[in-house]
Amino acid sequence: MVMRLPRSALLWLFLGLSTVLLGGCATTGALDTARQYYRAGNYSQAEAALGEADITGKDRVLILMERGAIRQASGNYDVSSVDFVAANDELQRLETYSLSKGAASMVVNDRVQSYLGAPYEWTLLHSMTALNHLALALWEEAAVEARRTVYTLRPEVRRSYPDIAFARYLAGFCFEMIGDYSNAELQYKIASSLMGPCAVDENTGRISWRKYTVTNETIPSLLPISERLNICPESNGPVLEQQREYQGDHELVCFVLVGDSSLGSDFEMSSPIVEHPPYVEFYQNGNYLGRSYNLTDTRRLAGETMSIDALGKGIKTASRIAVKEGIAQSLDRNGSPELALLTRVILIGMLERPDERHWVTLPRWLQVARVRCSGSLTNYDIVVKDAYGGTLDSRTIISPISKTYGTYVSILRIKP
Amino acid sequence: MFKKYMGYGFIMGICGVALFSSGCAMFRAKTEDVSVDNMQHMRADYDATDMRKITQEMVDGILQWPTIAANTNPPIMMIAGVQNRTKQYVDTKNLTDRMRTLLLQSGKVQFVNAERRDELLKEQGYQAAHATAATQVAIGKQLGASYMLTGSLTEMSESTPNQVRVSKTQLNYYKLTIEITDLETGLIAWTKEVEFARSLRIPLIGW
Repeated sequence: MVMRLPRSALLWLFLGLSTVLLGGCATTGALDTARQYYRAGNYSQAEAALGEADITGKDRVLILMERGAIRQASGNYDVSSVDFVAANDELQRLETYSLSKGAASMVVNDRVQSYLGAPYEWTLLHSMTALNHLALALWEEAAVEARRTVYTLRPEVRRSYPDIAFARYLAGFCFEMIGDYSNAELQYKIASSLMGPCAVDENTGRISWRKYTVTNETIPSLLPISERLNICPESNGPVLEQQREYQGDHELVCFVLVGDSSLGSDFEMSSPIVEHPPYVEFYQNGNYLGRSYNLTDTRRLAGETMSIDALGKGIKTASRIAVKEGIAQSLDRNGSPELALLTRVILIGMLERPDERHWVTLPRWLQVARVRCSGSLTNYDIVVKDAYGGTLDSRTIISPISKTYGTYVSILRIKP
Repeated sequence: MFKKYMGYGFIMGICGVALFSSGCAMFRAKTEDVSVDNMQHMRADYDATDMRKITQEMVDGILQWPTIAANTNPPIMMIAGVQNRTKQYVDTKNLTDRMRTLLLQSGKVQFVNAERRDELLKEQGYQAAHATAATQVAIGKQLGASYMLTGSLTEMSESTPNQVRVSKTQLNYYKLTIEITDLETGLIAWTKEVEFARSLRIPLIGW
């Protein structure tokens, strides 16, 4: 039996659907505006722009993540943590799959479903929260987030998604700060195994370049410093002189967050051009303390996640197009070719678009510097350099600098 | 046929509106007082009911310790804190405050206020400078603790592995360990563990 629907009913359906779908555009606009302000460094305006977004809707998790990162960048670590914790609570609530939204996503697109984030975003959400706690010298709270981080990285939870060196290192550091040295060593060891050119001393948490012996190669002068410094003195090529690091009796651990997670096209994501990140040199009273090392590139994480999810998403997209085509063909059989054409235009032409939502204000390069310093650290100087040693920026940092026993902890945000 | 279905839809719409506007309890917010002894668990995580239960159990154990039970002169303790080693934001001071209250109310233990030392010294200094001799408290008369109470709250959790299913079960295990250390010798004079576990089944599919 073929169901015949009157044209007026279909027209109302079209108008209702359009209203519902267009209503979500306000949130997208607010997010885009906030992200533009964030990239320009106008954090207060970015936060204000997010005030217009619907924080109770399907993008609640995304808005909380973005706002939390913006607040963190502007130094409001306590309210940033509130947002991050709320995002985590919402993610736990969303563990229950909504049948109604799932059904709607088979007729419209995946954007009607609540934003769940990618597995690497779940982990880094805890890492960002831990950084807030470290900035406020809340060591036990940071350790709570470290345990949550480790839980999300367990093989049975993470499954085939990539492990994250920065999250492991940060978790290890949080355990070290509360005196849980055995767990700290374990996390440092895992982080070290994930860091390509760098290695972590699991006993001290210090980071250094791995040493590779090269026998018959010369060093191209255009290689980034990171790769040139890998060469052992025994190799045939010239060796760069490294700056002598200051040997103070205290330690400064600085977590450097560089850039943002704007993604390129699908092509760019599937064939990423290797980009060498900038790095930061640290100075105290004119003494060179050391530099930061890149542990994680979130764009690479996004690309790997996209590759893993590609098959499932492809199958769902194909099924959804088949459903939409079925609806259009049903209208055709009903004797409504105009409505069938309109349905195809709207459902397939306009509404069939990929869900590209992701956490943009998540920093792209996540770096750590662990250097010796003197015990009277109230501020320190940084020089931001590109991968080839060219100076990009320099300034003096006075906060946040928290301290426990012989260790100072700080967080830096570097714009791309 | 369509008019018949339209008629049914109209009637159902009227019924729906009537139901909503009738003030059906299911659709109204409601508050009521709940006895703290009858609170229900909403999640598998550590909650107020667990805090009350494990602190009571721990205090009962401390009061049975011969050093306290048989001692006519209540020993003096200080609380150095209980470490939170769970994945939750647990207010462990809440836990130790309750233990301290129950122990003090028993009359068998005394506590020095280690957290307020700075304020105490500040007040004593102020009195020495500004209060009358008759009302000044004597300096250097604070009592020293003989024992230090510390501990940790740990958590281990598991959930059902990846499989085709409509619900997921999460199991949380908690253990509170309290130790009382002799401040003179450094020996652990007393220790006890209180443990509990709870499971929660979460539907993976909902409306």
